[in-house]
Amino acid sequence: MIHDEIKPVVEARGLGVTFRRAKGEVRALRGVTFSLGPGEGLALLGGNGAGKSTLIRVLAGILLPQEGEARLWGLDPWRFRTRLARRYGLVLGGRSRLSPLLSVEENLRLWGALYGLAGAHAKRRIQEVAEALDLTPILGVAASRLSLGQRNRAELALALLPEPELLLLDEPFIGLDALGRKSVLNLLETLKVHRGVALILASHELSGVEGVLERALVLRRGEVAFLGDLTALRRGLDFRHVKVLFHEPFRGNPPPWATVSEGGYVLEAKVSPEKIPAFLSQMLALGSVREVSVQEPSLEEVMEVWLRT
Amino acid sequence: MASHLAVLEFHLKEAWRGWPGMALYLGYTLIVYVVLFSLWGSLEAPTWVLGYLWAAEALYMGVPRFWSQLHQEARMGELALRLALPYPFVLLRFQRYLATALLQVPWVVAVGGAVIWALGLPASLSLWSLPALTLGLILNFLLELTFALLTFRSTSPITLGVLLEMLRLLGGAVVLPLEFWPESGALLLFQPLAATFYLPARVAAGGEPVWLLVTLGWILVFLGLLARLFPRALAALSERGEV
Repeated sequence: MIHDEIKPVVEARGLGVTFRRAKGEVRALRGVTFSLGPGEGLALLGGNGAGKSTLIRVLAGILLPQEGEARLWGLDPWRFRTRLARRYGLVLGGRSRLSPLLSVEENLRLWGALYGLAGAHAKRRIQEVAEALDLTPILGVAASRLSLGQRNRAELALALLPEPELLLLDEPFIGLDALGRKSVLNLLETLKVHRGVALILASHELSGVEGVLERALVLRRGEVAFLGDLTALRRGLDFRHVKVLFHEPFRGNPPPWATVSEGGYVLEAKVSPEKIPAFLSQMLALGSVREVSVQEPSLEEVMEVWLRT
Repeated sequence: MASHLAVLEFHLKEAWRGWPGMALYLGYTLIVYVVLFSLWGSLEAPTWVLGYLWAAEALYMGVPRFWSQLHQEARMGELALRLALPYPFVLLRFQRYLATALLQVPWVVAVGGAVIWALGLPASLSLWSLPALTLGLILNFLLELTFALLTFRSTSPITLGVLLEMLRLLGGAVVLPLEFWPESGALLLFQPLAATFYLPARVAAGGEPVWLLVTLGWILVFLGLLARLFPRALAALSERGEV
């Protein structure tokens, strides 16, 4: 019998982690269950202390959960950490693996050796990741002399070096400018779509993430508050951004919760989906409307609402 | 094997680039040797004593101390990145330790030799120095790693570190060979620090090479101990969320 079912890369069933510290117990994760297949992208969202980093560390086999189980390609990451480490790339934002006294290229060669890459293959991979992350001009620079953004790109390069099938990225955008973040996101999308790399990304910098990741897992105090499509997460909010452009400055009184700009040519407001027709009628009464755009809330706004509730 | 050598090569490069710190340290070593050799040279001690001090200081001053660095990495959560590798963590640590030791120990030996030559003292090292110092280096690594794992439970291990340093000096008989201790001092032979410093230095200074079997025995004991302690230390870190 032939099974054409795609096996999950990541499986978490009822994961629970409690830290025992001097000041008492801290429940970091509770009953977290989800799975991720090859080529899928999952945004790990939540406020500070929600459990995102803990979950990534459990999946990397660095933290041992007291409840439930985690599996990467069917194996326990804690028990088979060294074996599985060949297949995933890990970035822990703010934590560095770079040796400050070695150049970027030497660091890459050292980590290549740790991953068992040698000779021409190692050279090719270093060249590829350096080009993909725009590191070529700084390959000869000592890691201690890199800017924060350059260091984080180099960290990402270390994670990508062994051609991982899964990327576990915890705050990988720290210190990256808008352009740098965009190029990293493009690279992640390419890896996901063309090479089937599964992706778990925890970040507070959410702009652009939606184009790369299709699913979201929102953690709140260690528990799953939402698991599903990113679009569904956004649609859950009861407002849309409505922007109205007038041919000439409008006359009359706009709703007090709307924002007026460009000397009365532009009016913007957050409106419930069901109230949009009534709102537009109101706008038509104010003046001659040139253009109307309705946009879903951004992921940042979604998270703002989730964090408040 | 090729990948192990490549890893060692990069750690050697890394250690070499830290030469300003090493040069400063060698200056300090020079002072220690001058004081020790002048003191013992003025006494009518047996000739092997100077060779012993030469080798014992080379081990004591030449081996890298890394327990506090490892402790710090664990507290800062940086250990995680080195654990999530297909390369064994202990081997990686050993490579780093070995690279520094390979650069440091020969320099310390050279400084000691230069002082002996300058003071015109009758000191020499036997052909057994190389295996003796190598075994001493390995046992010291295992001791240092074991100590680091034990400090994972402590939030302020500085006091423990000072205690370890004092024990190293006394238990390792680094400045006073066990032969000069009162009879009860012979009991010190049965603890690992004597096997780390005293026995290798004694063999390097012309003692019976068979004593190195004791150092080898302690290496096996510590390997067994680490095999049990390492996963437990990681589990303890995991339990506190500090990894």
